[in-house]
Formats: sequence, structure tokens, C-alpha cells
Amino acid sequence: MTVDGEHYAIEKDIARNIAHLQEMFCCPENRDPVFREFLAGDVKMCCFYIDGMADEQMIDDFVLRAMFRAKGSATDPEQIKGRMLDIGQAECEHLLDKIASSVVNGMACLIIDGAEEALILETRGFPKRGVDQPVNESVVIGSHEGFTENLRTNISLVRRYVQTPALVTERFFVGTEIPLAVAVLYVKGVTDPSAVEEVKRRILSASAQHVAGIGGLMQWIEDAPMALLPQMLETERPDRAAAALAEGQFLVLADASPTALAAPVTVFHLLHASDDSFMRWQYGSFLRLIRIAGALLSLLLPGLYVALTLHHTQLLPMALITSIAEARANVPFTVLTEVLVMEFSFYLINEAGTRIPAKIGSALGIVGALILGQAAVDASIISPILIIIIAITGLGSYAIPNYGFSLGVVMYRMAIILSGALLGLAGICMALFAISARLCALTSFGVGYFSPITPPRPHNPDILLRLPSWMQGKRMFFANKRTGGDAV
Amino acid sequence: MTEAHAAAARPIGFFVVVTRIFLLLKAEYPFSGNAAWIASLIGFLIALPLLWLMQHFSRENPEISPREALKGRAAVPLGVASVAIALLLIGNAASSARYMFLSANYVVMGSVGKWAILLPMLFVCLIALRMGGRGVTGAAALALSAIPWLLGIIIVVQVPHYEPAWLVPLLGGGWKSIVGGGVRAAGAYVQILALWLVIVPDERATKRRFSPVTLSALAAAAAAILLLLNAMMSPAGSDAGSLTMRLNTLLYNGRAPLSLHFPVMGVWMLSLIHLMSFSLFTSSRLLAQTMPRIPAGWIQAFTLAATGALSFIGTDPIPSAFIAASALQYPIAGCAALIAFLMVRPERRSHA
Repeated sequence: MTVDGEHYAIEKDIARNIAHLQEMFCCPENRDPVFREFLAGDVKMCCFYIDGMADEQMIDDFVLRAMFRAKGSATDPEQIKGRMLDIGQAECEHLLDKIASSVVNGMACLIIDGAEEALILETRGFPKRGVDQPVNESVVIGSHEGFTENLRTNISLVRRYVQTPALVTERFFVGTEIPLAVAVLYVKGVTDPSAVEEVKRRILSASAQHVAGIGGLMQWIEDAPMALLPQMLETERPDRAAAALAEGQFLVLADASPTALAAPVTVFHLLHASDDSFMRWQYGSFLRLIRIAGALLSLLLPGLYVALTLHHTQLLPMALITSIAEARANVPFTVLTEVLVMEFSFYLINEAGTRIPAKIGSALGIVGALILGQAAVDASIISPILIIIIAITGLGSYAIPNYGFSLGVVMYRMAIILSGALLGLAGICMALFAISARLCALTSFGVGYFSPITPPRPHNPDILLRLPSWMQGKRMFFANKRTGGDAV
Repeated sequence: MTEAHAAAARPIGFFVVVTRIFLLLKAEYPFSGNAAWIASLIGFLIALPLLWLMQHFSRENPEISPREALKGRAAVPLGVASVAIALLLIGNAASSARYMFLSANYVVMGSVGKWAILLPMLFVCLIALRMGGRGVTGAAALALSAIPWLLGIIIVVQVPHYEPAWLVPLLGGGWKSIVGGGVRAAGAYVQILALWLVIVPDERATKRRFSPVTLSALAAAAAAILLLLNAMMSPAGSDAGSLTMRLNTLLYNGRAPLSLHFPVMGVWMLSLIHLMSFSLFTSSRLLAQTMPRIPAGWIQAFTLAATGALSFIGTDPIPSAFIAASALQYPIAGCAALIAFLMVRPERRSHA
């Protein structure tokens, strides 16, 4: 029976319900669905679940055993839920689609003959990884817990750090064919309600058949998916996610993704690290300056080297230009070719290092040393000074705490190298101008990417540097203005 | 094309005024000599009535943009003045593009093809225009937060070379040349007027007001200090007609440690790019506001094409660049006078 011409509803005839569900789950080819039919008193019932997704021990102990004890002919699901079942969470549902999506998520469904609703029972028991140390966001000082692939666990982790009843979790499904469970978390009264409404609107309007995890979801909901730099912060640390919530950001979590997205963000948030807030303010500020310097070196150093050596040798002190000329005397390639080859080799080793099995990882070190080391210099393929330039650039790149941001900087760096090679200093200035205009026009859920520098906004002194905690009396400029955010 | 918000527009206003004063007093009218810093302050005093009038007018109409407030008084003269200023700003943009070309030639100590610099300049300005007010003003704010550090390095390294004795005689080339420089420097402040005409209030900023007098006073002070420091350097060689000599005079007064050429040229070129993008943006906004039926993309294409055409004109780039910028000051001053008249004119009452 259909309720709106599209969705099937539970019927009183249990056999027809089972037949519908078997058809929906492609039985008998599909061997995972389990339809356990039994009699509870005088009433025929069927417990339906997916093998491996639901906890069978729980079903045996708290559903089947409880129902076998039942007497009489009660068919009212509310009555069964209240008086007979020994299970904590149970809900009545009449739509077969919703029953199916709950069952694929590890729930069990109790279908009752003669009832127009079934019971969805919380029996999830699929295998999952325990809470472990985050792999890509290590810290010197701070928590050592990381998100897992289980949405429920991740929400619990956040709740442990943000212990307030104002923490709200809203759940959605994204994907028309293969739904992905998504949760939006925010602290009511702290997060700007317009930002929360906007993210919910974007999540609900994502029209993909399937969204591949949090990375796929980010492309659907960020302000400018074509931009090279990310406009949402990815973190695998619950303590950092909790700090984002306290600042007035919202979180997006997705099932099967050990990462949370936080927004709105500015470029400065992407240069912050988790342990900044665990350290004394002097150390946190100093490390932030180091990171900013690293990011700038990573962006500019090879481009400046190319521009200077190709076009503006007269701008360099004589000692330095002589040293560069001597080092390059036996190198047969142009400076641009040399830099591009080295950049390519560096990121080739970087990418191979990420993918290589750990047991043969040491071989990569040997190959890397050959390409980026003395062997290449001895063969007169590259100059020693370029090795120093590329090494400093690589270190600067690794100092950027956000992986996506770091990759974006690499792409911008390529543009600057080419501009420097073509037009020298003028080209670098033009490229910098175009990049800064592009980035200043970016927004993250309505917040300027370079706020509070431009557009200027009143702010907590925890953006560029981190001043002492007692000076951080205000919330971030993007927090809710009506309940203690910055007055404007 | 997004709007330029009042709070975000302050850095670019400051930036372009200082750059334009430098161009006017060191390259186009260098006769004030080492008293150029006095000329820049005189320029501020000459422009002060107009700036004060703008500030007073803004305070009388705090809720709406200055343009909206002026439109209520006399739409047609405002439109005429806006179009005239927009066209003159295109000339300004072309002049900046030529300076960029000259500077690129200077810095490579060779000959760079015109198209090789001007086309990329137009391309990056197109990107900035597409990014709108947020992009243009934001890029200037970022540059302005980095440039003081570069200038700091330059000044610290230059300290042993500064020669206070070069500041005397204090009046340099005499009163006549100082006042002549001051009149030209006053033209630089008219750019604030163009910016003032295109800004809109920013509801979320701490300081929402765009204060032309304060902004110009800061720019005048900064320009005077930089000119003063520049004047304390020894003069350049004898070949006053050469391109190298002119740019040397413009940038380091002819003498600077070699190691400083690089940051100085970086600051200079960035300033020129921002000056050009500012002129193109304000010009496009003024035209779009006056002719709202024409798509913004067409207007941007027109301003870029016109700038490109003007900057490519002529075979001898040096005199053309100088003449272009200087000659524009007077018609811009005329338009400023018209706008000033509209501000002091009593508001028309509608007859219901």
C-alpha cells in the first residue's frame, strides 16, 4: 500500500510486509537480511535485521526472549514497546523506506501481524574502531583522542568536551541513492543562527546520488568549491572541534568519516594548531608567527629565486650573485627548469611517502636522498643552492597545520614561480595582487576569509597572535551577536 | 561586482593617496626638490575644505551612502560629474600602467616589450574587478599590513645614509615651486572623493564611518615622512634626462644600498598595481551607478579596454606617462568643485 503514491507503508498482513521488504533488499540473492519469524503469544511477528550490522546477542536477549515470554494477543506497537520489550530505545514507524534505512544502519525491525506500524529497535552492533590517537594532527601538549569512523561515537566525544545542554545535534541524510548520515552540531546562543540555517539549507539541497564522506560533503556545502584554499576547517581532534564550538563555529560530522568540519573560518584559523590553546600565550604566539613565516616562505621563496636569478641579478649583493653563479656553473638547465624539476621531485617523493607501505618506507628515504641530495649535485643536474631553497620551501609547507591549505599554497606557488620566470619582480607583484584579491573576495558562510583584517571586524585577540586568556573577553566576530558576541 | 564597504575602503584610500603624491611630487613635478614634504602638506591644506565638506555631508546623512544622499539633491549634475570622474580615472589607470611598464624596464635594466607588461597588468586588474569591492579593497588592506614591515627594513638599513644636511635650505626650490607642488598634490586627495562616491555603509564594522579628513591627514603625514626621509638621501648623478636617473630620483633620491633595491622595487610595483586597480574599480563603479541598466561586465570590459588603448598610445612612453597623470588633475578638480557645489546646495523639497 502506498501512502503518497511513492512510499510504501506497513500493512496489517505481515506476509505482504515481509514480501515487500524482501523485494526491497533483493532477496533471495542478497543473503545478509535476516527475517526471523516467531509467535509471541498468539501473534505472528518477524524480527528483521542485517547480519553483521545488528548485535545478534542483544536481539536474542532483549527482543526475542522478551517476546517469547509474552502471552495474549497484543498487536498494538505502543503497548508492546511499553510493556513487553526489554530494550532501551524503540520507535514506531509506518513507512517501509524509513524502516529499510534504519535497518541498513544496524537497527532491528519488529513487524507485528495485524499492526499498521512496526517497531524500530536500537540494536546497532557492527564492528568499529576504538577511540585512538589522531594520525595527522599530532600535538606536543593536549588531548590524545581522535575521532573515529562512527558518527555516534564522534558526537559522544564532542559532548564529553562540551558539557552543556545548549549543545544541539541535528541529523540529516545526504544522497538520493545511497544516503549518508550527517550531523550538524552547534551551541545554541553562541553560534550565529543564520550560519546554522545556511549550512542546513546547503546540506538539504545537496542533490548528489551519493556523497563520499566528509570530503565529498564539503564540496557541496562550502562557499566557493572552485577556490584553491578550503573554506572549512577539517579536524580529527574532538578537543579542537569543541574549541570551535565554543568560539561560535558549527560542526558537521558524517558517518564513516573520522574528521569534523568546522565553519565559518578565516585564513588565520587554518594556520592555528590544536596545542596553541594548551600552551602559555607567549609560546602559542611565537609558534603562530613561525607558521605564518613558513607559509610565506613556502609561497614566495622559489618564485623570488627564479625572478632574481633570471631577471634581476643586479638587485642582489655581489657576494650572493657570485655564489649563485658559481654554484650554477655546471648545471645545464635554466633556473626555471631546475626549480620545476625539483618541485616535481619533492612532491613526487612526498606523495609516494604517503602511499608507500610502512615496511618498505625506508627505501623511499634512500631514493629521496638521491634525488634531493648530494648525488644530484655531483651529477650537475641541480645546484646546491636550489636544494637549500627547496628544503626551506618544503619545511615551510609542512609547518602549515592544514593539509588542504598547504596543497593550495603549493598550487599558488606554481603560479608565482611561472610569473616570476616570465616577468620577474613585476610578475610576482601581479601574481600576489591577483591571489590576494581572489582570497579577500572569498567568504566562509558569509565571513570574510581575511577577516578581521579585511573587512575589519571587532575581534578576540586570538587570531593572528594569541594574547593572554584574560584579554580574550569577547567571542569571535562571527559568533551570535545577540547573546554575548561582539557588539558592533 | 560587489560594493566597497566604508570600513574596508580606508586602506586603499590611504594607499593610493600616498602613492599618487609620490608620483606627483617626485616624478611629474620634481621642482619642489627636497621641500616636497612641505608641498605634500600644503596639498592637504588646499584639499581640506573639500574633504571637510565630504565628512560633514556624511555625518548629516549617516544611514545611507554619500552617493544616495547626493542623488536626492541633484541626480543629473551628479551623473555628469560621476561619468567625468570615471573617464578621468581611466586616464589615471593608464598612467599607472605606464609607470609600471617603466619601472619593469628600469628594474631589469633592459628593454621589456610594452605588451609584455601592460597585458598582464590588465589581466590581473580584470581578476580584481571580477572579485569586486571586497577583492580590490581587501588586497590593498593586505598589502598595507605588509608594506610597513618592508619599509621598516628599508629605513633601518638606510639610516647610516640619511643626511639631514640635505634638508636645507628648507624651502628647496623656493615658495613658487612648493606651492606648485602643493596644488598638484591636492589633486591626489580627489581620489578620496571618487572612493567616497562609491562606498556603502558597513553594518557589521566597528567604525562604520568613512572619515575623509582623518584618512587624508594620515595619508598626508605618511607621505610627508616618506618624502622627508627620501630627501635626506644624497642626490643622484648628473644625467638628469635619463630614465634611470628619473626613477632613481623617484625611488631613492639617487642613492641607496644595493641590497635595498629589491624591497623598494617590490613596494613600488605593488603600489602601482593597487593604484591602477583602484582607478579601474572606482571608474567601473561610478559608471555602473550612473548607468545601472548597462551590465556591470560590459562596463568593466569598457574601462579595461579604454585603459589598455590609452596606455598603448605613443611610442615614447616617458613624457606621455608624465603628461597623462598631471593633465588629469585639473579636470578632476573641476568635477570635485561640482560635487562640492552639490553638497552645499540646499536639499530639494518634493511637492507631493
